[in-house]
Amino acid sequence: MAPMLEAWANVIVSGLIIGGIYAVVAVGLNLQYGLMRILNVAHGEFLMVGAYLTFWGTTLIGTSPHLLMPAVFVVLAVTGFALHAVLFRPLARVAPNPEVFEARGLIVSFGLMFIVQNAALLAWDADLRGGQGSLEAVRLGTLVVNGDKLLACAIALAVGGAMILWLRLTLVGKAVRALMQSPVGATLVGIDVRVLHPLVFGVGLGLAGLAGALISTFYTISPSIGQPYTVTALIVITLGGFGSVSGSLIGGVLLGVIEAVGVELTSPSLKMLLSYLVFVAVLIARPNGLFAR
Amino acid sequence: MMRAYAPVAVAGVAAALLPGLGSPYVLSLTLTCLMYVALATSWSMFSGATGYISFGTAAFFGLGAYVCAWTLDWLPWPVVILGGAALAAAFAAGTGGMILHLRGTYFAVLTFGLAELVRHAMTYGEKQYAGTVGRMLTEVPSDLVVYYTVLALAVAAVAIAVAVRRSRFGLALAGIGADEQRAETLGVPTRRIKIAGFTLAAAVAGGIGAAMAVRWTYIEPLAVFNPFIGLQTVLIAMIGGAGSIAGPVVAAILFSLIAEYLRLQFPYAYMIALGLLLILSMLYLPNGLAGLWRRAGRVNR
Amino acid sequence: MTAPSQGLVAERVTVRFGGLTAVSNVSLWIRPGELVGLIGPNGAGKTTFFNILSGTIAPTSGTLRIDGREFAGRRPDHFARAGIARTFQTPRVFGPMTVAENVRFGRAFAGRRADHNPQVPGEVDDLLAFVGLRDDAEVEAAAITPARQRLLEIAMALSTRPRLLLLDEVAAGLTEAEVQRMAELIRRCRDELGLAVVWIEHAVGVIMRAVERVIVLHHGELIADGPPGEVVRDAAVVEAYLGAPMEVAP
Repeated sequence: MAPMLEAWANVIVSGLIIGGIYAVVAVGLNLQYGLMRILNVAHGEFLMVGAYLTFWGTTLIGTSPHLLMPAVFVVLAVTGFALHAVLFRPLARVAPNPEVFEARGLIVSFGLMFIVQNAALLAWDADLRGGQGSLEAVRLGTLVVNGDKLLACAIALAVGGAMILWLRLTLVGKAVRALMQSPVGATLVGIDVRVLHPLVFGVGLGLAGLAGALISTFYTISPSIGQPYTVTALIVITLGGFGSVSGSLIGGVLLGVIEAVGVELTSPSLKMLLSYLVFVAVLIARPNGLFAR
Repeated sequence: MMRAYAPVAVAGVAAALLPGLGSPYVLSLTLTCLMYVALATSWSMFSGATGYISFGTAAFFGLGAYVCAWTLDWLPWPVVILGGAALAAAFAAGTGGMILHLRGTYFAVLTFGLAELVRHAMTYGEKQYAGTVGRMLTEVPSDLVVYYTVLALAVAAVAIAVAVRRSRFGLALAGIGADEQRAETLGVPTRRIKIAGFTLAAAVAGGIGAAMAVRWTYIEPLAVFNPFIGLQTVLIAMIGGAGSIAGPVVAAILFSLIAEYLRLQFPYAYMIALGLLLILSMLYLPNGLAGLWRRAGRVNR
Repeated sequence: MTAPSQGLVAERVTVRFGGLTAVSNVSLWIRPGELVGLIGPNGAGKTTFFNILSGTIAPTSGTLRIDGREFAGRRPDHFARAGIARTFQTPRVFGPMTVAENVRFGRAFAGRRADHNPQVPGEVDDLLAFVGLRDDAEVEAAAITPARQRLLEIAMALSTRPRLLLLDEVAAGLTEAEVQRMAELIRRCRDELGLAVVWIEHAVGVIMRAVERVIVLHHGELIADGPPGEVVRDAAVVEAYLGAPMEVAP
């Protein structure tokens, strides 16, 4: 392969890989918003918590981070279930209409963001930790790929695929999809929202934790890593469309590639500028996602 | 008519006399109070009335601050302040036309994204054209000038809020908040009204940004476009009760005091307390402090 | 007859949502002071058509003239200021405001100048008295019964001092006696205030007794337009109402 072409292939492949991880960062948030109209801006903070749980688990117990992932998922899912019961259910009860609930839910999740982020700073201080990775680089033909990232991406895509299957094949998943399309219709066919909402909120948090666990295998972590990932998730959701899981998968990969190519063409200091530009432009021009008809 | 302006006038006079009486510490604390009074009041005037929750205050504040950094050396102080207000207003008018068709969460996250976009664009632009990211302010006006400027802006913000509330313009904003489409079918040019309200709120924030910029000697995007400025404005207005005028004023004062005592000594605890307060107020006091005393008034009657 | 310049004239108005044609090629003329009923089976495009006439939706193609001026594609507030007022199927009153404030609202905007219809009273009190809501003036709009909210909707529409009133199923869910009073109120809007009225109703019988002219929409197309007596005998109308697929709402 020509050197020029090879360099670009490297850029695209690394964009694809990080994009796969972005997808799983976004899926949980998208499920929560799509089903319940809760835009949980503390999403990134729970991702950060997942990253720390993984870090401490591997440091203290000495197991592989990948073996800890199911546990991280469960811990955060249970947390999410409880948070929904304590915060969002009472909020839904007193809100006069869905629009007001949405606004208040947004403010409550800002409150959660402050609490979790600063509690983490208190507990773990602002130091950078971990991030050394454990796997060898992988050769794909002439391309060299970071092994940890590749594995993380594979897991992320597997989880994303599992989510799609869960939504399509299981009764609960079908209920979630039905509710996303028509809240009234779904309640008519006997779906119990009181169980489904906390469940999906929990799954959303669990997925955030899982994404954090994946990220902790190759990036250094600190209590402030969360917020940028919330923004990443928002951008991905905007690209793929609110409430669409497969949209999030495509949106994540798309954002990964856009960022990688954009940074390659300009400079790394422009990465955030570029991300926000994409976010704002898509939200203004195509608020229902790039793929909406 | 006079009754609504009277408390504003009394508070204004009291604050105006303060420099002769209080220590520099009290003065600086009052300055912070006044800044948040102006930001939260102007925010409520538009976002509180219409329900278009904007997290973009940081963008307007930062643009005002940068106007100050660019022009302080060669323009008279009042022009600098007006310039800050004008640039923020122009930005709001320009972007308002593009973003105010989105409602609810979409609008909220979009304003947040826009503010961050401006911050990153400013960082990049300054690096490209000025060579450095930050700017040093050398010749700054005295503390007293700054104080009276911010006081004037705060009084203006409250007076504007009162005047708007009594005007057709305010009625139109309230109608948009209650049912935008219905208001439109009753003859409200909703698009123009929304842009005007958004722009007016931005002008106040821009003026405040320009005035407060001199409190930092070194202006950089991360400080003056800090998204926390936008967040805190929303929080104060929400906790005070965005539908009222007195609520955000009282909340702004409370917040500045709490912040003063907690933020420096226990920064993390302060933020945690802020988060808890937000959640509790949404759960138990959704109409803010204003809702609380409205309820109390009803019981007394 | 030359091209009409007074009233509202729609020509070949079509609205498509994606692949679905909700209103297809409809042409009609609403003359000043006419009392018109608009009927059609579920999904016939009645409300969509109203949305076009009030500016809520822009037609995909076709023209829409008010007193000779083109309004297609303009915003709802322009329609309101041009003298077109409407109600909504589910009453959309400003819940937190009082009944009187709700009526004052329209008066403050589209109803500020009386140039389009000086016959409609400008005083909020008079409007409330006209619809029979004077006793509720200081009550929060959210607190009155749905039937009274319907009346308030009409008062709000009148507060813009319109010449054409578009009523979307204002009699739905009312008792027989209330329906009678509503029909009477609508007739008074025309007789005493000089308004043209277009009244959508799902219940055909009510309309047939109350209006002088009936327009029938079916699958987005205009299939009949004439006096009630003729329209009930129209083969296409009978077919539309009796045909098998009528109960299926899209």
